[in-house]
Amino acid sequence: MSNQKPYLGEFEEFVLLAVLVLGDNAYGVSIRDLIEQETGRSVSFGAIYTTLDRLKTKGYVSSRQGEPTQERGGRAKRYFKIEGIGETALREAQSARNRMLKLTKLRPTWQT
Amino acid sequence: MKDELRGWDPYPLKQKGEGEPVYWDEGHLERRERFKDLIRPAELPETARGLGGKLRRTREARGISIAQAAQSTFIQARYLEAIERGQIENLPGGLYTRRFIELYAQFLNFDGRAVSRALLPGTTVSELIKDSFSGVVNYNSGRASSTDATETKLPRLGEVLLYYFLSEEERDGFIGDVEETYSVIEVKFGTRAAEIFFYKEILNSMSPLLARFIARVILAMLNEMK
Repeated sequence: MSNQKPYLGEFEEFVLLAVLVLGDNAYGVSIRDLIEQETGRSVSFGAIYTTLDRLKTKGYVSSRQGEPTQERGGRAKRYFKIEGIGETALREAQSARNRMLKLTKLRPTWQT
Repeated sequence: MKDELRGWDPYPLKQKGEGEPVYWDEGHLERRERFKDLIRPAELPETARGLGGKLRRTREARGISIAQAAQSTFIQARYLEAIERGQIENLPGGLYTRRFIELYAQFLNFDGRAVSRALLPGTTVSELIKDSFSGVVNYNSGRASSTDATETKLPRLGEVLLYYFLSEEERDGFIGDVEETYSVIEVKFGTRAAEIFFYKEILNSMSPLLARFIARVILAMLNEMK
């Protein structure tokens, strides 16, 4: 990935943003809840995990095993954390979007 | 089941009075497996027998026959009888075991969830997933009706695929997440809603997991061609 410009898919962007927002508490359930709450789409764990897998391959996030709890049937959580290169990719994606938005008559919603 | 049959095992694992298991001949274990339905457990858990008996007495006190109960609950009579006798092992397995017990208990105005909890302590999503591997034979023979079959075929397949398409590392996180959401929904909206969530979740998760799997296979093939 070193010689290539970081690239982010749309859903990858949401997942990465969620990981960034949630900080230390970013795991499957919280990521899904946040995305569903903020975008209003229903998201499956399958989609989230395959996306996180891709982001991990790109080096944008890292993961660690958390503590198992009773309500999880004794299974450990897998926590995700955003990496520096992930934040760069996120900023890059946002600014590319903003540049293109400027070319249209659309304005970002917070400016209308 | 007659009580004098309790403990009857035509293919015992070991001979009486000896510490080491002794198999009668090479086909012994195979026959034991084939005729495992004939083997009666020596002791049933007290709760299963007691609760089952309670359900039976309640039904009889109301003058409802097994056939009538089967008609009202849409559960086969033999399963209802199995519940009343506490023979959980004769139920179709997986979610069905739990659902049948709950429905039948509710039909008799018991707290369905409490009864199924007592009869099947600690049934969790991971166990349901495990069940879909071990319980296949059981499950096919126990299929109740055609509607039954359409309802369950896909999710079953889904559970198995889900298990194979998740990497070792993801498995705990993923299944734990499903489990956590399942219990949250169960507390808030009941078991029915939680089960619906569970199957929906597996179906919805299939397409991204399958897509990733196919992509990996193709990539591996391309690498081989180089």
